Amino acid sequence: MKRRNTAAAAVIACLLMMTGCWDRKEVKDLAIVTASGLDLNKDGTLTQSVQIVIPTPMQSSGSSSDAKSFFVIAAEGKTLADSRQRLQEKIHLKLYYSHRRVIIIGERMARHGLESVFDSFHREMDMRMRNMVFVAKGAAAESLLNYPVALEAIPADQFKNLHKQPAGRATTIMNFDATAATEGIEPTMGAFEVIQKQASGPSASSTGAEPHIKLYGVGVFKELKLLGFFNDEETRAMNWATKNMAGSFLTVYVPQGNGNVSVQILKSKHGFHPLVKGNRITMGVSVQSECELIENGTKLDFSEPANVKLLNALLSSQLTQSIAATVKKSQRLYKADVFGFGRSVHAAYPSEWKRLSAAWANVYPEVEVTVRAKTSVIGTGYVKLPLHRKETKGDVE
Amino acid sequence: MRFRKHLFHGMVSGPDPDVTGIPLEPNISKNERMLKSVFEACSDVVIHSASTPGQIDMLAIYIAGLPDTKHLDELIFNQFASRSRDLDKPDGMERAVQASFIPVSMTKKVAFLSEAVDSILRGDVVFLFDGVDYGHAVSVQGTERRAIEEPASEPVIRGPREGFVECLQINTGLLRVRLRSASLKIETLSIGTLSQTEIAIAYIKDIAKDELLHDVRHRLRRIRIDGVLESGYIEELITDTPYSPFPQIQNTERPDVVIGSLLEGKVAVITDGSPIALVLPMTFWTGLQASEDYYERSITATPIRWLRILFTSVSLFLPSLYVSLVSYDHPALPTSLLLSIASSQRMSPFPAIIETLLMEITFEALREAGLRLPKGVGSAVTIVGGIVIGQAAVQAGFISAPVVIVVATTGIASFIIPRYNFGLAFRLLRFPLLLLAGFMGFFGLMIGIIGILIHLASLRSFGTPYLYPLAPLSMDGLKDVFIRKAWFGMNLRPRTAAEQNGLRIPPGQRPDSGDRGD
Amino acid sequence: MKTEKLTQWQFVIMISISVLGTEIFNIAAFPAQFAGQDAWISVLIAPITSFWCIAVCTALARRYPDMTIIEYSRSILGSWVSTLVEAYYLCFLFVYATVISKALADLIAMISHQLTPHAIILLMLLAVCGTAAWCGIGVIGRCGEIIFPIMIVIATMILLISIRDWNVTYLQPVAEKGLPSILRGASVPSGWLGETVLIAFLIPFLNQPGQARKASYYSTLIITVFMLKTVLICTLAEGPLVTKFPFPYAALIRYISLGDMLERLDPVFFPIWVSVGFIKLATFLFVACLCVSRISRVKNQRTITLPVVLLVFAGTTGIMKDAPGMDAILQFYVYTFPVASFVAANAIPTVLLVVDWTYSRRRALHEA
Repeated sequence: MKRRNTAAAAVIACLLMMTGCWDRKEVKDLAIVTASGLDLNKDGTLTQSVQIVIPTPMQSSGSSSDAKSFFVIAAEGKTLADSRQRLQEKIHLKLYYSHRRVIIIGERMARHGLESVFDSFHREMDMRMRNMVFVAKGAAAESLLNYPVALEAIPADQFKNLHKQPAGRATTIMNFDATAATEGIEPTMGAFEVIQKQASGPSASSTGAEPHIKLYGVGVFKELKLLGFFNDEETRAMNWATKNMAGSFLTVYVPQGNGNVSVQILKSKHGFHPLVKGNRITMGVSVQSECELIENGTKLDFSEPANVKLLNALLSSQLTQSIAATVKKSQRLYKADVFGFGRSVHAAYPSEWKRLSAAWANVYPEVEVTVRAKTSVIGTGYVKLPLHRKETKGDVE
Repeated sequence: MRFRKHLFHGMVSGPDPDVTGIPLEPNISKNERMLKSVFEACSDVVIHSASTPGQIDMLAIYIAGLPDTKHLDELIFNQFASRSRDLDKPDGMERAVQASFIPVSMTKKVAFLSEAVDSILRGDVVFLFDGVDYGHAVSVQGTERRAIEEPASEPVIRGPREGFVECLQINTGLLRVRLRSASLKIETLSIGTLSQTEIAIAYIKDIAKDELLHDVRHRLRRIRIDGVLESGYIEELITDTPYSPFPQIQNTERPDVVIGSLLEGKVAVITDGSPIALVLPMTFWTGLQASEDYYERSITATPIRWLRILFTSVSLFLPSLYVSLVSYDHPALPTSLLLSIASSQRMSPFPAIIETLLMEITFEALREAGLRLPKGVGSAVTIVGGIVIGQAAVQAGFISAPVVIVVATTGIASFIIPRYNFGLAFRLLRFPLLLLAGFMGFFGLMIGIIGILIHLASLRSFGTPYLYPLAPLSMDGLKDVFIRKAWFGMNLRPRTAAEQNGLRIPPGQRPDSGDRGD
Repeated sequence: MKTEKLTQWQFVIMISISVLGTEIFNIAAFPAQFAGQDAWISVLIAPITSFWCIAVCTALARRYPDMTIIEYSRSILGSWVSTLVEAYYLCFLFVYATVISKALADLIAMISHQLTPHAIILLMLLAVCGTAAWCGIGVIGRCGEIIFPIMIVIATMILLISIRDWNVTYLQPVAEKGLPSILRGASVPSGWLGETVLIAFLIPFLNQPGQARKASYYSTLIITVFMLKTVLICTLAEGPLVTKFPFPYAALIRYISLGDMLERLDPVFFPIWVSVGFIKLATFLFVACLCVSRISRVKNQRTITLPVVLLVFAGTTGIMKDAPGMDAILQFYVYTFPVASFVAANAIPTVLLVVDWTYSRRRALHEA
């Protein structure tokens, strides 16, 4: 009996020695994908492109700065899964998607509709909901992946980090899905465009201008189809109404002082106040922010309360106008509730919402929106007046 | 194939049974003949016959080299000679004998041959007189023993530098010096039929639990062995689970550690011939405690304890963690780290698990080799082995650099475990965990950890669960596990001690608590 | 061999983990299916079954000290009727042990080991849990004492890291769907909380059986707090997607990130949760062996462990073979499980108590 037990134990131990087992993936056999792009071709097939990083040891990062640290391969297929299989045919290493951060969708594909693509995303095992999705405006996603990036070890991070600004919106797939699944709000996706940069200095390549990627605001979606874009000004306005904009800047022209003034936002609060009376819906959008003066191009002294009041009024009216303009664009042109007005109606008037929700797309353009923005300048930076000016009587007043 | 199982029913080889039970004779030449036949072919036994001035024959038997012959000659023979004038009186012999032996501290009467033989073997001198049917065994031991010096295996920065030596009496003396109380009880017994090694059980009455003492005595008494050379023999024969990698009996070479444990209700077993004392019961957390924790202030000792616990886990888990992260669970690594590892692994021909296994085995071999080298060369070898070979292997492309880092860190971390036998457990267990991690990644590692946890939870050391005081949870016991509460806070003894004497430091002793006496 | 006894704290931990072990992954999905964003309110209502079960079982245990439910059902109902009761519990325990092992193995396979055959994962899991069940309840209790603080630390870490992704609007409007949906949503969590019927088997192993009621109430409290926390953070982070994921908490763990370093930590967190599931499985295996040994009146429970484990392993390969993947298990949870659990935890003990009370009254009247 004892001998049988030991024999059994020995067999099991040998099994454990079989360390060439099923799920082991050696790192040197992997091609680490950090970004993918999806494009729709004219014949209805998909092109999937992936950006693969070339591993370089950390210490030798300074040596070769002009050698590209990544490469891109692309393949076509009928569906996402089909193109993925064909992609694997082009490279001997196993494509490894768990480190992917960014998915870029070409404009044509976005306008066509993302239903099937998102369906595939959710079923994939190595899809991480934290991946960010972006739209490529006026360009193919594949081309976007190809552009060289300065000062970034992992090129895909540039996409992610570009949109983490007030003028952009970095949506993860989870957020996009949640927004799409919520009634009363339509999702948006950050967008990029390609612009030609003028050659600067002798180190530029001799062929002339180098194209590079620039943030373009957001793309507005409805039922997973791209309707259009908000440029960066409109995106900023949209973000003012929906997010905390601390850290961003506002610039206004002050006619009394004949110059431009810029302020930096320290705190901002936003809110929606819906009012439903029968069939009439009014939405009050309120934005309150506190900011600090950072650049004064006028001769006015902003430590005077009167001047500050003037500046506040100007800032507030500028903000109000830009938000109102964006709301109007979303209502008239896109008929898509990107702000989430419907959601706030739902929260405030649940019983009313039951009858409004079905036709919200039609009700939304009829909503009267009043924007109230209040900006107050609470500081003037390090100094009260610029240090280089000569003191003249006019300034002190 | 018979494995000589028939021999299992025999007797443990021991001394000649003919010696027991035979009394000494009044006739001295008969005694001499008996003793000569027992000690046949033992050329180091000296049988010195003399006759006193009173014409009475005297025999002194001893083993050359064991007693102090100078003492013997000067004090005893000369003393005896000077008292010889009393010998013709009827009890003159007795009185002369008693008087001569006053300078000697340990004397006893032997009436049986076996007792005489025992005493001679222990290094005493046995005096036999004609006409008297008993002898006197006089203990004048004078062999050269090792002096008390700092224990090599448990050095401290702060704390006493005395360590046990091989002589049992000196060791128990070191204990007595520190605990001057009659409650410190020391019981001796002999184990080993041929070696007759003396074992001392030391405990503090009313602090050590009665069941524990009973258990210890019972286990020691049932040992049947031919020779006991080191306390390790005793340890293996009385331990609860001999096949567990974790020791259930603590070894120490320091008397202050022993006394500290006795004050907590533990029992110490000291073996003659070995400087290592056994302290039982032992818990898992004892293995992670060093004596310096108690001598330094608690606020500095506690973070060092945390460091120790952290690095103990590192020494156990780091290689397996590395293998599972690199072979199975790549998502968990930050991308830049993964890329770095990928580029360095590119060169090496082996998969990560094989690399790590190879390097771990090499490191263990280096460690073992380092123990046997003479002192001067030892450190050079570790430097050569660790740095140069590792570096050369990386540059030749055999091994990737992260593996060398992992193995080196693990090696350093394993030196941080204060108790050597406890550290051996971790060194051993690293390998199955490594194999499991190579087999199933983090899940395999987790299964291994759970397996070790089950084993630890089922282990008991003389009745105390091994993971006490963490499981079963005892809040006041926790004062000594993750933190070292200052001495004025450690009011109660742990549950290993008997209940009625639970208080050791009354509360309110904090120095700055206001009552300074001025 | 002296049976080991559990201390109070060990008992609390074991009962808590026996419920939390596997349910923590998919707890958020089920109430949300019916109650939407008010799933957290459903979770607050769910402990009612547990309190009821504890009250009844401790009352029965007080009347019949040192006996498990198998034994006192025999003495209350007589051998014939109680065979039905015993068979029911046996079935319940076996099926549930099988479902737990399959759920755990499927989870691990889905997250990080897609290609490994499920049998290997199941074997490793059952080997470890079977060893723990073989070693006895004291060992499981002590392991639980070590694992419980680790579980709390990890859960708190996940909570803190996920704060970044919270969006309070997902909780609004509150109580929109009305009370009926909330109550329906509470059905599945209450089924889970009904697993506290394990105390009916474990009270004889307590070293202070009189304190069982208080200890069990503590467990229910801990379980409810954990469930509430899980449901809340899943709803706050995922909003309407909660119902779409089979494992919302798992999806949350895959989603959270702290800077660039602590991302994608699911291969690390899952096995830690598996260790919690291991305690649950070990407890269930132990109780299943206990049940079998009491029914068949075998004195030494250890010898039964191996057959029970093998049976469970065979069960996992056979169970739910027709329906693929996790769908069958999810169906089981939503429809079969609450009813089965209610019967085991509430209906049967209440019947036992009532019958016992009537008989004892009748006996008292007789003697009077």
